[in-house]
Amino acid sequence: MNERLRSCWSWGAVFLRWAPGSVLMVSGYLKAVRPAAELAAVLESYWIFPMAFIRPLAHVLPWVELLVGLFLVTGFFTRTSALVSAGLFASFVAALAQSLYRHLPLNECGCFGRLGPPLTPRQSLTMDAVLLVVSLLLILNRNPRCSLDRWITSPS
Amino acid sequence: MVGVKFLEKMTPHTLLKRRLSVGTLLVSLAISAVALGRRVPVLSSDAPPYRRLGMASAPITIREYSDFQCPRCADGHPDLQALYARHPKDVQLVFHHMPLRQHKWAVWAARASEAAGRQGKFWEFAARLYETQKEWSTAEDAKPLLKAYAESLGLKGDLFMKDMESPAVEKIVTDERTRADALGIPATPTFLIKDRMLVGDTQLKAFGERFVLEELNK
Repeated sequence: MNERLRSCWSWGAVFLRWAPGSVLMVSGYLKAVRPAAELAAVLESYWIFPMAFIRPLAHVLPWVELLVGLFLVTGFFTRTSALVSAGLFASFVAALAQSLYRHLPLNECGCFGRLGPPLTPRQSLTMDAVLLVVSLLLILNRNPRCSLDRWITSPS
Repeated sequence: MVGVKFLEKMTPHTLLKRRLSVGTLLVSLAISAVALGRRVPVLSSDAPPYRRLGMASAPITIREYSDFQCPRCADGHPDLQALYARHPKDVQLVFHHMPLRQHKWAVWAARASEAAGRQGKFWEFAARLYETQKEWSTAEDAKPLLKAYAESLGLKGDLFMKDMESPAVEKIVTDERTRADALGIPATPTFLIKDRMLVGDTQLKAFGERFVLEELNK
């Protein structure tokens, strides 16, 4: 029974890994192909960071999202990627929660840049909270199935 | 379990080599995908002369994509003028219309500024529109107010109205809006300092001067 449960979890973890991975990969890509100033304007509207910090962040964040997403989907450094993914989603949840608490006039979260689906802050808060929990669960997944990690450590 | 057992036998050097190869491949894949997806705006220089301020030989062109009814555009306008005033020999300003659909009188204000431009007072009229934004943007009918502003600047009222309502001016504004969308201008106001983009008045305030100085020092 215990072995069966473990097998179910290890296969389930593959699909769970693809959820935050694909969301991060798509959102990072859609932001990375646009000028950094566009994301900087979105970050500015959250009224959290000083202007001097926003522009470097707007350059770095899409690439972090894209790479972490890609690593999660392909299962490369899976547990570390899951940890970074959890950190990203935790910070998104915090940013969105404070925007709702302060009644900031945000029509959409800007999570996917200008080219993606326009989610309201409430919708994206829910999505990010779920993906945060998923990412935390993935940290527990040792030796993940269907992953590059497994392929790298297997005999050639 | 097989993988874990094998790990014990695999040398750290082989493992590192494999990880490095796969990592490099994935990062290269991401960089290539982004490079392919990036659209580089091809900037047209077809703004009429009256929407240009400064010397044509100036090494830096700052393009402003703006909507006269947008409050943040009104906030950014004095900052842009101040930036130009600090570098009159090095900077040329070019104004591009980007009237937003949700602003009732934005298209008419853009058309009015074109009409004022045809009488040689585009920039004065633009400044007046930003100063009086709250007044005309909430009016039931903004056209008489626009005419009054034009006349207060010494423009011929009848000619101004004729130009403002002409299909040719309407086409200019519509075409500019379409071009701004095609270029991927994300919001108003957007400023392009050469090819570097600033979105919003706050970014202009924070980085405008620095970008100009950096471009001058190149």
